[in-house]
Amino acid sequence: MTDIIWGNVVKILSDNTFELNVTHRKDTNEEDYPDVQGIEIDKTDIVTIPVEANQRTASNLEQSLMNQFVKCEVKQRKENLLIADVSHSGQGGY
Amino acid sequence: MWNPKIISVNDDNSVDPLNLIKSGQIPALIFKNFYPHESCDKVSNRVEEYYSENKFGDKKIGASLVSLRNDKGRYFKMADSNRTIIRSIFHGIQDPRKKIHSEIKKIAKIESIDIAKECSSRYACGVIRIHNKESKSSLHRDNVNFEAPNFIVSKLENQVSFVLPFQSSSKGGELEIFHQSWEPKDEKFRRIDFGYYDDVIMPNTESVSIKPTKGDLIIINPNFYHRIKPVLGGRLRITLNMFGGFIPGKNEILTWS
Repeated sequence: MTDIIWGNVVKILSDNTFELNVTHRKDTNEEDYPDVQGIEIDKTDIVTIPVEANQRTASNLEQSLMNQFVKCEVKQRKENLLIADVSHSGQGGY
Repeated sequence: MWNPKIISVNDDNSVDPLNLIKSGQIPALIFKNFYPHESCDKVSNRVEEYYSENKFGDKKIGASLVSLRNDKGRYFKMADSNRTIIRSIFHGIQDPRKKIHSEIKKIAKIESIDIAKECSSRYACGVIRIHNKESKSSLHRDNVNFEAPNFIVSKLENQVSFVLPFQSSSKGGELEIFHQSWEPKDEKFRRIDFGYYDDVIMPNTESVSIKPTKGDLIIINPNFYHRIKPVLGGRLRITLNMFGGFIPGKNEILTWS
């Protein structure tokens, strides 16, 4: 089963990575995750972010992700980052 | 006491009533008898008929921006395709959305109110929400600045929410507003599906419950936490909902849903 964490994007680190303020963790996660976690995007269905990783830019991520509440489905660890599929999750309101 | 202010279209308002909402001095403005009861009944009958024929899952007619914030193209497509349905529901009677635009302009002395546009696309203007027995709306706040930064309306200021009840439920369905506005630190209380856990509300926070009355327009500052209590009884709760926001530095409002 894939581990899943949720939270808000608090900082863009590079063209394809960001820092997540982790607020929710799936109950059945196999690993533990800290409150602040670096994420590298593998796939995303957020239409404003290019599908191809090499076409993504920090300013594009800033526009599309900054402060957003996202779901990260963890694929693997890469040093201090998690490689994850990223999508929007939840609605704070209408 | 934090109580709603009841006003009528003919009041001589020396103070802009929207300022009371924007500043949070009051939880809501209520325009009594804003929309005729006969028109409310006509709309409700048409909505019930449409609802029984279509039985749509998300219980709304019209496009809602935040639910489609991840797909701008689809939002504007939905906005266009729902325009005809909503027009047909208001066919032959006064369009309540136009009345909201014209009366707010007059009462709050606003220079202009128009439906928001982005390039050549028009935003949706109004969602009709249907709550059946036991349905509710969890604790939430509406904040387009935070939720939908890729849309031009996220640049507007002082978001207000217009709620026009066409029909109220036999019991329940009250709009409960808490005297606590959303702050970024609250995100840790966010639910994965919709809204926020009740723990976000600080102890002893004052709240008011407003029973929606047919034809009475309710205006709130939607950045204050609010929810709809569970609908009881057999009658559907039917409302028109839309948002407005001020263009920065101008006394002009743009609306959307």
